[in-house]
Amino acid sequence: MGNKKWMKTSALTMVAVGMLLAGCSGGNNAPQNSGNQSNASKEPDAEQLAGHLITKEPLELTLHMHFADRFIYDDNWPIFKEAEKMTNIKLKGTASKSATNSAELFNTMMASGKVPDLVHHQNKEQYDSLGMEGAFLELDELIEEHAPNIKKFLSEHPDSAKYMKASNGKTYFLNFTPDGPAAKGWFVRQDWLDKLNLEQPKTVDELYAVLKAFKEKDPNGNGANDEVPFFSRDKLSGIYDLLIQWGVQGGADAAKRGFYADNGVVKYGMYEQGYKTAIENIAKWYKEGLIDKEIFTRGPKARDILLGDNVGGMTHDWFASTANFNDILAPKIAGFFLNPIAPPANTEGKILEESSRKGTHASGWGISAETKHPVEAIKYMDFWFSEDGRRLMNFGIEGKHYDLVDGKPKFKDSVLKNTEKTVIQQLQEEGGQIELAFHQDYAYEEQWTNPIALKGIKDYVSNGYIMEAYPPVSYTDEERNRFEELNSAVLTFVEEKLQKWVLGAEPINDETFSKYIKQLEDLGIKELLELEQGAYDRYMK
Amino acid sequence: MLPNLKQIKANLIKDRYLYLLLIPFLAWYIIFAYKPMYGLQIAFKDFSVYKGIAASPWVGLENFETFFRSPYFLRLLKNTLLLSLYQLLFAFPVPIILALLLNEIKNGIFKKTVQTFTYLPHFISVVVVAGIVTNFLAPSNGIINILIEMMGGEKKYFLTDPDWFRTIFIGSMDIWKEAGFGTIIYIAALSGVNPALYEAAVIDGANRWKQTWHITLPAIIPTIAIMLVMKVGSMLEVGYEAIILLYQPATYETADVINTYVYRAGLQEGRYDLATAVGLFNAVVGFLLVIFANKMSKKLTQTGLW
Repeated sequence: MGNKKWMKTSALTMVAVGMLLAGCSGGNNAPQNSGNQSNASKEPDAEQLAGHLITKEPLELTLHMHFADRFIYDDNWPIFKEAEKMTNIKLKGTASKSATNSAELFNTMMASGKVPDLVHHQNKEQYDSLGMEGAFLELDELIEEHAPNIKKFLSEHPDSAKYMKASNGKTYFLNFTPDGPAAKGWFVRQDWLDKLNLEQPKTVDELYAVLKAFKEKDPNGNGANDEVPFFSRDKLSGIYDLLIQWGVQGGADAAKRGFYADNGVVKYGMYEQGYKTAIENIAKWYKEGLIDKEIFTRGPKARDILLGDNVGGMTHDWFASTANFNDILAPKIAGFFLNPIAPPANTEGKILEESSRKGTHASGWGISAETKHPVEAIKYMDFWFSEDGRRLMNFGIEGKHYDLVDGKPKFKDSVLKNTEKTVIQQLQEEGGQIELAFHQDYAYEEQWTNPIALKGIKDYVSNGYIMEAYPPVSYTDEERNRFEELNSAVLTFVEEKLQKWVLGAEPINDETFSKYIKQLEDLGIKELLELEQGAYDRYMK
Repeated sequence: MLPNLKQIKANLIKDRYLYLLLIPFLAWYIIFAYKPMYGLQIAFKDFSVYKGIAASPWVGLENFETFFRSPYFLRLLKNTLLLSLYQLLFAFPVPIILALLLNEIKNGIFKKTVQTFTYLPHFISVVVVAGIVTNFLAPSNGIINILIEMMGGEKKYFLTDPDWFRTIFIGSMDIWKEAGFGTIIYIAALSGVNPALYEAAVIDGANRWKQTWHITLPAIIPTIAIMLVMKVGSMLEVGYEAIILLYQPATYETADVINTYVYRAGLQEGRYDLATAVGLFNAVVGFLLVIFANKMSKKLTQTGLW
């Protein structure tokens, strides 16, 4: 039959390509590859398999992958076909392509009792607790025996290794590891500074002076007092991001609002005395119009609107996308220059950037307890941690998406200069940069990041402004329920008060602040901190 | 008095096609309303999707306790009930009045145009309506504030003021968005009024106002009563998706309702047990209210759901 013949030829091609690739990478990066091979040759069943081949005969594994309500594994993704050629493992997606709610679909799949070999999920905590109930395999031993690349990665990235463990100390889930140093930075309209003969603000007091000048001296020159000195496209983070200027930590991380570690002691920024000074000042700035009057309702389009209207002066936001406004607005606004600057030194004289890009991500995958092919599955997961697999996931297919220049992948012009789709869109459409467990390579993003952003990032990284992030601790089921219960009560109160104080709806003074502290204690802040301390200590061990 | 079996059988055979027509509806109720009640037990369990409903361990009333012992429980309940009550007081009569007004219009084109324009907002998604509201009420250049300033007033940041939240929410989501659509059922009821009654009234010398009061209104009272009873039944289910889009921490004081709090506590994803407990609580309160409303309705208007 034609079909069989096709299979034969393609099997032969696969083997050939596999060997070819093995040869290639051997030439480019000898030490690492030989490491792989010596590890692989310990496997009795892998003796005659060349390169990344996992099985002699093609094998099909099933996969559930549906995340962020729109990414669904597609059997036709060329990047996974490429991986199939190298490994002899074909993935078959089981997630419905018409479903639009990833979380619901995952729960339905689990409840149906038909769990495919590999399961992708976007919620590590839920995955872990199902793993502890026995739905997913413990991966530790499998990794030890069959996954040299994962093992190597985990020993080189102890933080990731810690994060991947569930609260019982075992690993059920391998997660996506993003790469890249900086997240947010301070951006100021440099052309406005120049016009008003001002220096970049180096301290909080100078920051106040600059914002005040933006408000009063009409830097956009339209004769109207319409400038919005400081704005944010995040309704809540806009204010939280300012707290660090008065030395209040823990505000920057939206997922774990308030928590930070001070020499091993877990604290809550909005429960510290310094918070009063911070809020007093922020309320004053707001009253004087230095902070966007609409900061709590402006929302995600704030940058587009305020920068586009030539009224926004300063913001604290992600480097790459904010720097892009220079390209977008240069033809419309003469002299427009939105410049990343170092964070102004806070009241304690420290220059700090609290936001950082997370080294861990809650998306990833693991192996079903019902699979008949645990070894093949872990080897396939291991493939994406190999040098070739990592490059394939980061940059796509050689010759199609990138060329190797001096041993480094460089995107083709057809990818970089595509005006209809961004680089990441182009890759994701073909199965690249998908949030399964792999180690992202910042070099992929660097190639198309705006030079102004790159300069800012370099400045922040080389000067060490970026603070160490609070670690992603994990809880037992019981702890998590209690944490959510207490934390939502505390956070509701904190945010309600924060907005009322900033808006001036309630006065902030010693009396109201001590009442606030008392109320936080009534809501169980102490128990919450104790609980968090336990999880933190367990994580740091 | 019971009809004997033979007679039942004879009836079944005689009206078999009618009974056949009934089957799909019965099936619908069994599949979508009665069978899912089996799952209600997870409100009393520590539910795991992997273990399934039957194998998950019982935890008694723990899920209810988690929800009742929230320090905000009373505020949440009060906000939920007040918001519902205001919906009943202010939003519920609007479609009735609108339908009565439309009924008096004799110009067909004008009537159809008004009807179309008033029910169109129903088809706009709540996200878009919330966006429109936010823009209209923006403190610096929202149209409402511009108008207030032109009339010599002072600009106001409406969406952060707890005193304004209920007005804004009911005005936009319940009245502007839904009133026109709500008139359809009343207009249908009005078209069923016998014209002879009006003719008789005119002969007796009744003016327009009296005709409305003594003929039109009594004719649609049963419809109003039933709509009211049904509305009361879902009183705790205020449209929380829309609240999430419109509220702020600064307006929690009046805007935070049971469902938004549960949502914010991050408990909805994966915590079906707690969500079910909250849903069950809402359903029980709703059920009691329906019984009460139905009794009242029967007493006052001689009509009810049963």
